Amino acid sequence: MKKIGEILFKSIVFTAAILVAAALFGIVFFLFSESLRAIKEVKWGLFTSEWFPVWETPEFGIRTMLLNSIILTLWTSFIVFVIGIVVALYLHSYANKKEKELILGVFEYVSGIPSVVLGFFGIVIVAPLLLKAGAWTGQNFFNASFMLSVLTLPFMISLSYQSLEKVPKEISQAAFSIGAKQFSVMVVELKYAMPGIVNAVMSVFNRIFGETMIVLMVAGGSNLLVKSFFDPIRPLTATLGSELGEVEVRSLHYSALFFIGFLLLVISLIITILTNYVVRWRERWIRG
Amino acid sequence: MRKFLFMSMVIFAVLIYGETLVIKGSNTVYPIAQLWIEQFQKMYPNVTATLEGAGSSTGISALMNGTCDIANSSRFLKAGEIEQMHKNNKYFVPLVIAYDGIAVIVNPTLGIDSISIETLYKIYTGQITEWNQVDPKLPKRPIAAYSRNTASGTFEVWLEKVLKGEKLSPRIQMLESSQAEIESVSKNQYAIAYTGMGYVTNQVKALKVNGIEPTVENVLKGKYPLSRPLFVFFDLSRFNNMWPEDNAIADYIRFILSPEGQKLVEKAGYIPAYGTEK
Repeated sequence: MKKIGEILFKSIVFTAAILVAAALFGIVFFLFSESLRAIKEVKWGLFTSEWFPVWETPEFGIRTMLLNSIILTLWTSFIVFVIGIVVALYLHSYANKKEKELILGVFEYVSGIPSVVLGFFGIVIVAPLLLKAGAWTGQNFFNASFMLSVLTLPFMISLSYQSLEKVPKEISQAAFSIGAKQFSVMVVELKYAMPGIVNAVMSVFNRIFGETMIVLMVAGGSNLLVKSFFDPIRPLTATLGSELGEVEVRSLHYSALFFIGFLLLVISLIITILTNYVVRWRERWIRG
Repeated sequence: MRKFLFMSMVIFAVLIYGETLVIKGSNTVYPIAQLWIEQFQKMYPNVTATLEGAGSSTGISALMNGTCDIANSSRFLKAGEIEQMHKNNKYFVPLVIAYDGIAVIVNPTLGIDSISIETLYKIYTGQITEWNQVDPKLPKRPIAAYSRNTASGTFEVWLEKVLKGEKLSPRIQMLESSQAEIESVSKNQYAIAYTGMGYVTNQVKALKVNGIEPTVENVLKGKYPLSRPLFVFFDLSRFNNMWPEDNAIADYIRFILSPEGQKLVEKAGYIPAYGTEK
């Protein structure tokens, strides 16, 4: 009897695993097959800077949007990385128990805010402030970057903090015992915790790269390559979110939008795989 | 169990006796049609009406191959469609059911009352980027020009009447909704945008275009340059080219052209084509 139960359980778990893998494969295949028409008909035109989907002679160039997406993501991830580590270090090395509880508690609540609420906040509160500060438009690169930081910082801080807490006490004690100052001890601990932190940054990177609602609402929506913090931009995800709902099914425009989706998926998959490779098998690269 | 039996009997009865009304087409007409079928279903509970917004072209081609009863459209038939219609011995009746008037809006504090289509063209194609180029009395500040996203029906009018098919400047900011436009223009002193006339509030100032005020009267008189009629098409050849009297399509058309139906046009933010008084 026990054996039958075991077999049954195994087969259920096995089917579930297969289903998940099949779903992932199915999504990739679906996105690719739908974008095939655009790839065949527009070819390298997909990588020009002109995106005019509903004009008499339509153009489907995504270069500007792709570059804007990448620049916005890199910049915001960098900011989140720096602030995240500083706050996590403070919590780990200086904060007393009460402060820790308070700060971590606040971040736990902030991390539950839906992105559409953050986008709304960006429009109603941040945009007028930016206008007062002299920007020519309230929805811009800075606004999007700021709101995306608010979205991802709690995540970054709690993950970095957990990685730091996992550093064995022996390591910091050993460092102290050979006469290291507080700062050097923190460097040692950071080095030890780095794989976890890198993992967190990469997740943040993926999250920002794929985030749609916030950039749709506050990034500005113009196909302008960003040159200053106050330029309005339109990342790839915003275009996808804005246009997919109304496009004629199976048209060239539809296919071009699926190409964007396919590209987003491929980039995010590559980043995830790269992170796993680096963190799992090349820890030494990071720890030095 | 009894409930289930009753429900299935009702569904069965509807399937046998009930008529269906399949409506497809323009996204611009969609909000009006949504209000219409909501009311229509209450008046004629035995008719099952379905509505799909997938663009004017989709609606007209669905009417052509008989997969819908009513096609909503934000434009008249194209030459190729008329040709194909004749070839298939069909006759699509065009009914003007509303007008879509577009107001050009700026912040109330900006010292400007009137703008020409020519200037709008220059702003939206990027030839003009600062307010003092529009009028030397205005401050030398960058113009924050907003547009609806390309999926919007209002954008189609803009593309046709202001841009004249020309490419939009990359400086122009695409917004997702009319509310977002009103919000942005009311906050930014140097912003300009356009929106359906029904959406204009007193937080923003609607400009005269080529000297004509954007009012319902001026649209109905055909004076205001930024407007277009919205259509509903149905196929007369299905009824041997005789005007239908007693089926779902006839009931629907009678309803949408009635004062009650036209009031719903107003409610959706458009200009009724016919009187709304009883």
